[in-house]
Amino acid sequence: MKSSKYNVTVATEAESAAWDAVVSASPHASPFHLWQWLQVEAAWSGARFYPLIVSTGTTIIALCPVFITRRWLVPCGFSPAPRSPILYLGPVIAEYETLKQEKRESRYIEVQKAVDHFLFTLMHCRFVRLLSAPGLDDARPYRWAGYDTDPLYTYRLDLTVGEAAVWERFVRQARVTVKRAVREGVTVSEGGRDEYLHIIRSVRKRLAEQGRVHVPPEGYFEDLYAVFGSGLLRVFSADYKGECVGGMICLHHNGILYQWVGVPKPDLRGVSPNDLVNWEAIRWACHNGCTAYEIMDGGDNPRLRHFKSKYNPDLHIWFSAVRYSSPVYRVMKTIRDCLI
Amino acid sequence: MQLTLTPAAAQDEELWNGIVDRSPHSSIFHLWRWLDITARHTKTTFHPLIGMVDEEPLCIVPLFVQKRGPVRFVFSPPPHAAIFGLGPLVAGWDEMLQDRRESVFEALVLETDRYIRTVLRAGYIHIALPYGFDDPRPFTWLGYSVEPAYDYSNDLSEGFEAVVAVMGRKSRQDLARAARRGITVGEGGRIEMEKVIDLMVERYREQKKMVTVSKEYLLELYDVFPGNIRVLVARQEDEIVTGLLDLHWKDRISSWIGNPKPHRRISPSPNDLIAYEALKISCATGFSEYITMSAAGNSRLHHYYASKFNPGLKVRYIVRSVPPSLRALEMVYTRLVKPVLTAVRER
Repeated sequence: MKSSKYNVTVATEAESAAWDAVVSASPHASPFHLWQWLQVEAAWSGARFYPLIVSTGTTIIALCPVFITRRWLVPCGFSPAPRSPILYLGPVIAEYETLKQEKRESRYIEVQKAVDHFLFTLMHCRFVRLLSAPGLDDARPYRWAGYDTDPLYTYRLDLTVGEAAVWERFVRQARVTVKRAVREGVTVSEGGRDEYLHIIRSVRKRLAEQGRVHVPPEGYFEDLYAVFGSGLLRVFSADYKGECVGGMICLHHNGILYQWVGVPKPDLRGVSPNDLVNWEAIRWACHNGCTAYEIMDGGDNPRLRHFKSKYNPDLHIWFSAVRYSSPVYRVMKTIRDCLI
Repeated sequence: MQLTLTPAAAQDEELWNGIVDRSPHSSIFHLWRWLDITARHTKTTFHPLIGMVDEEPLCIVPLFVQKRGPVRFVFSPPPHAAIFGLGPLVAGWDEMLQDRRESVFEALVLETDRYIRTVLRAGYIHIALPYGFDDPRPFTWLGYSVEPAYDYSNDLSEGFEAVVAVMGRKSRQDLARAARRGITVGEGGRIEMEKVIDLMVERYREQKKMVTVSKEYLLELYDVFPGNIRVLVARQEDEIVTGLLDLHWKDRISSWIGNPKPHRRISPSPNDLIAYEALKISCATGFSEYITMSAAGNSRLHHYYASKFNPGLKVRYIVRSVPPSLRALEMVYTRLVKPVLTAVRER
């Protein structure tokens, strides 16, 4: 496999500040790319974690956090880790948004080659799966390198138009539901650790009831709260007659408020707190200088589409990229997926 | 909301073109006459469908059917038509809220799929969605495979100075050298268009490739749409050495066919000068966007097109539904039969 002109090294704790500086300066980087988030992820993933820095000389060109684990004795590379509750990861390319198109493309292609060399040649991976972050919607370097790529979608609301304009763009039914929830006495407030854990437990219980085999452990979320509880994680909790009836956990990063984990619709006759929770989160985002509110992954599920699109968001693309080192491993993976 | 699909006939041309005019994703390829000519030259049957939303004609779906052996194929656009994106259109899309857009388009896709499978009884479906349309999800939910395709786009709204401001020094020097060596670029008509097509055929022959789009088809399109096809040719010593056919539609220009490499070595490339002049004329005539169709998705050519005028990247989608048996046959053809045929041709 042809290598790249760039060097690939595994970042150490000493480089965490430089890592986060690139993440903070890159509009397409997600909160999941932050060094400390990745450390929590690494501790709970059961995979070996390689925070890759792609550089030339002393200049960081890109970051690519990857997780390597064995499946049926075969080394496989992932970004994000398998069964992780995070959606986006993959490469972060420094200055991607400001470079000229030709430079942007050649840098991106060389980064892809460098990371592939590390994964397939040095680590002997036989299967690699990456999920990009929104903003990095160009899947061509991966397609040209033999990956199968699939477009994925998420919803974002543009908040630069102001709170009033965002409200006016809600479909009428959503506005009615919000007003009715207020009239019925539902209140939404920012929560702390107790509310955070209440939401996590509700969601975990719901996933278990749905028969989901891989529900992220509570300890993972507790560790995240210990690191990000006083900043990045924002908890919105809905109360009705002294009882918590709904809520959600958002991530506040780089001027975007991401709706991440939410409590499913409660059994309350005539009152639906979820639209009000969303509206209060949007208001919070507007008051705290956010330019966008993201309903993460909302665009891909046809069942949830109606709930998510009623706020009149814009559609944004991200993508998955999958590559096998040979057709044999593709067949093995298919057999494994059929058996498990 | 209720959506019904009904087949359109020749007398619906005005209604059809009205929907095309009111859709932000339309192209000249969607016009009735263009599609009618395309069907005749690609040996396909044109099945135009009009979608009524609550009894208002709001959508069109241009489909082309071809029977090959026992299998019926549905295309939009048909192969070998020099059309990069077609597929369904919804009028008034920009004025709709996202929830309404999604409801209308999902219903349109459901009805189209039902029509294709029950009325047209096709086993193979291939639809290239139009430029600027970014939501193929209803097809995904019906089990279609979705593949992105890429185009380059230059925003012309800031004027020509802004376009050339991003050019590198070498590119500017090359333009000056081309002019010094007597290369001139000018607009042409039908005769020049024929010459550009001939040069394309020659270039393909040199590369041992076959031209799959017929000259008669392109010339008929020119005869019907002379105001929408702009011919630019580069001359050296009064000889046309290369050329480019551009398409005008609303406030956009798309580079369509051309840029063959001249058979004698000319440095710097006259194609660079044509690209420069095409952008200059487009700005001067009030267009707001210049699209270089398809080049961005080409792993060999993308660098050339990305390096000149710093274009932006645009994604569109191709959706397909192919039963497993046909997929296996298709794989055998593309991975075995086609390479063998190409190798035989190259001998």
